[in-house]
Amino acid sequence: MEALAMKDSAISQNGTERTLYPYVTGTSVIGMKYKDGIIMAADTGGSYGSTLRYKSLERIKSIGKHSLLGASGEISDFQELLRYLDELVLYDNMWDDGNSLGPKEVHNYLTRVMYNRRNKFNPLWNSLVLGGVKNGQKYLGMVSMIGTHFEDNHVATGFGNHLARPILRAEWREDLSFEEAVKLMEKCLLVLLYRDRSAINKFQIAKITEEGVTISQPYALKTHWGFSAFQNPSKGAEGSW
Amino acid sequence: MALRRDWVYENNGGSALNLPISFPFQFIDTTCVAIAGSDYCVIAADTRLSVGYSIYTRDYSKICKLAEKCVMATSGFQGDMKALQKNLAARHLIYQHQHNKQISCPAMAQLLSNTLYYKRFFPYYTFNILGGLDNDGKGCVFTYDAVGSYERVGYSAQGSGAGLIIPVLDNQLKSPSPLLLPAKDAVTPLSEVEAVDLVKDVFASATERDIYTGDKVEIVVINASGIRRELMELRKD
Repeated sequence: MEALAMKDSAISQNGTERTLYPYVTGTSVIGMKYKDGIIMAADTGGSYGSTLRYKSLERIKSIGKHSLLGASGEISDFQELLRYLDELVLYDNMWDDGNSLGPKEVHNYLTRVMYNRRNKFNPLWNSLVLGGVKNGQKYLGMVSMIGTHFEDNHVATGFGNHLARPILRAEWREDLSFEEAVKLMEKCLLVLLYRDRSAINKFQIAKITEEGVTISQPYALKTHWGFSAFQNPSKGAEGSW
Repeated sequence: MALRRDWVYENNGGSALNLPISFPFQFIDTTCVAIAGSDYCVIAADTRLSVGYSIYTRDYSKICKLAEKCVMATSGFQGDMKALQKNLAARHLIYQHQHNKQISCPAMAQLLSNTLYYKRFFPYYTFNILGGLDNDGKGCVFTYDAVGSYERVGYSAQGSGAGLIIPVLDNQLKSPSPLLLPAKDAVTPLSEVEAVDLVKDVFASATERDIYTGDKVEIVVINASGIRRELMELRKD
């Protein structure tokens, strides 16, 4: 047991520790721009490997006055990032000069943080979605755990990249109303719910506009499992499983 | 267990080989091309940002204007690409403060080489091409590997599509051997319009066969009158 622990542990002779792999993880986050701002959604689950350990995690938080941050990956690293950002916003407020950090600035800061942690071989194991509106300008970007970053009209992390982005590429438009954006978002979330095993049926949708941030209460989507093929599973082979 | 090699250089292309170390022997994504002419320089790169088999975005520029007459195109790991561009842009600002002028392309070429070699033992995983006008107003192209070895050439291609493009450029541009004496000029006799057309053609061809090349190609042309930029659509599959 000790031998295994020593092999797995990152504690070497000089006593340093660094992240090797994630433990409690959140699954996809999806974000898209719509007419008045940004809309972002994530489920509220935290998995410990294949166990669903936490069912009420808030994986989308507001940063300063103009940004929303959604994270997938290691939850404790997300919490660490929130501490970094708290300090950043605090120092920004202390200038007391009427200026405030916009989403572009926060995205750049996060990119630098993630990249530099990766350079020290001690990454924050997250994929982040950063969205916001400042002075009428909408901004939506993503940062991965090694510092790969970009901005686009719609972004997604993890499985969302494979399942949600194709839907968004086909159906996203510049001038979506809030209701249309929510419908499109729920379409993506439903596909993820059916096909991502670490997704749970409890979502929060957050929106940010020039006026401010709203993060919804958690709610569930209607799913349909009444397919005839599910009715009698052993129909084709009686006695088998 | 997520081994160190799996994530440190995730590098926008995934890993084809399973080496115990994560050094530049993996898939390189994106394609960059540059051609030097007698009084112009064309630099081009596609705008697709891909990671593994996914496309993150179709609209990511890999070309960075470092100085008035000096533009860099980069392929490879995007995190390092951005860090390198920021590093050089900052160094150029300091240069301008100290020398009260824009840096020349050959000087920036040396600076890029030194910056890359500085991280010889944890490299910037980037494959760069620097293009611009030299001090005589002639087009110049410098091509690099990940750790800073560089050479001035008449044309170059880097990235995943380079293997598809360089043979075509060799055939069309017929650059004289650098071993000839007296030294013959490497810049192409083609006109600017012909060179831009050639670049569009090679990108269209590379897009057909390389999965990491496509979406759009951003073409930047530097000549005596300044810098001009155009975008051309490519296949999105």
